[in-house]
Amino acid sequence: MGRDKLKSYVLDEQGRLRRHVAVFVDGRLITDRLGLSDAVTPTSEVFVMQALSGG
Amino acid sequence: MSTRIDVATRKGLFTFRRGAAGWDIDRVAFLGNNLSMSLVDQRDGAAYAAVDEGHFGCHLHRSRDYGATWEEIAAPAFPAGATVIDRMPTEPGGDDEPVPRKPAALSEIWSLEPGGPDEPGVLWCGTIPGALFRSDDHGDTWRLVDSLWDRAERDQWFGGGKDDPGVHSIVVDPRDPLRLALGVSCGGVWTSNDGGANWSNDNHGLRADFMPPDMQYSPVSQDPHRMVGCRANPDRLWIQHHNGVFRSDNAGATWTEIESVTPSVFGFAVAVHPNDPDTAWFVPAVKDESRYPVDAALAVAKTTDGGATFTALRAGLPQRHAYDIVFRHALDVDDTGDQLAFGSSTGGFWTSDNGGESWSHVAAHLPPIYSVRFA
Repeated sequence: MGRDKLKSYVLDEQGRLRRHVAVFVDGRLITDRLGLSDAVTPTSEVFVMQALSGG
Repeated sequence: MSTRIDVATRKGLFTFRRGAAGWDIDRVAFLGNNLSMSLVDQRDGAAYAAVDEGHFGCHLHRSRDYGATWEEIAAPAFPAGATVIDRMPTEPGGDDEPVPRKPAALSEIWSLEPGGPDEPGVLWCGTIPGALFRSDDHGDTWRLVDSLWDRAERDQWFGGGKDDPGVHSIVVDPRDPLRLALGVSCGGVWTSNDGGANWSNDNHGLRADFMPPDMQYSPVSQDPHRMVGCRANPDRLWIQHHNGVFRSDNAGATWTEIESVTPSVFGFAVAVHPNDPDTAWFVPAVKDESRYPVDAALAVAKTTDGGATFTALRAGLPQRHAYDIVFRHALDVDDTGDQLAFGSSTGGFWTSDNGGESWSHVAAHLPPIYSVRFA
């Protein structure tokens, strides 16, 4: 339940990464925002960051 | 002392004039249109207006009669084949796929500055997607500055709030117009000592708390919301950054973080006194998802000692239920350093005659304000 709640902040209901949410795997921006197929290893560090600016 | 202010808004370009009774709207141009930027070139009096026609693209207009009539001139355009990283692709990619790209097309004119005093006709324009353009003929023609565009690091730039990154600050050293400094959101600070033939992003001290820990000091990952230079001491630059305020004493080579800003270190706009590099103004807000004045009380933060201490100036500004945000180009100081003006996201417009010590509420119901410039 908690996982689904968190998920709804990061992905939309079609499973796509929300616009202006940035995900880094081991210091690299992921390239597949729709399929989320960028590889992670058991020791990978994953950062989910909000994008910026606007006003 | 300046007697004219141009205010670019979501619904037109408003020119204020200072008369016996104070500031008032003298002229409205492009009513109903989205104005992202304006400029009055002090060298020849020509005015420029960047008009975003929405579905019909971004266009540039010039007036040579102080805004009585306007003519459309060329807008910066990306050459055929120019591409940018597509950070919001519509097709799935993957580890084996190349990073998706898309054609580069002008989506916003975000900065417009004159060249040096001895460079008549030279204009610089910063855009979204992030690029620098130069005109040598008062905006009749523009060319992309390839030396910056071709830098590989450009692919590490990313948009802040917008899909694509952009060049919002162009600082031309008045002693030597070959010395340029650019602020890029998000792509850090870029400097040139040779008129834009070569560029350096090799600066130190800026910090990005929105990046993973080992990338926070990466110069290319910074989000300087706005960067301004002091006319009397052009080596002094100030930045209102996404997560703080920074000062450089060596034209952007190194930066010192200023943490004592009251009421907060978050904001978009900064202005520096033209004759005193230690005096600068900011309009702070609650960081950074929230973005409204601290305690919903509007304040201008001023330092007169290079950032060692700040005073929150509030006289004449709303102190209850004020939700005005001041965008990055919407605060300006005139040539004397005494007159200030700023406009807000909710269409409030204030001026000061005494360096911000007190403020007059000149207009309450303008459209959202993007740029305020003394002319």
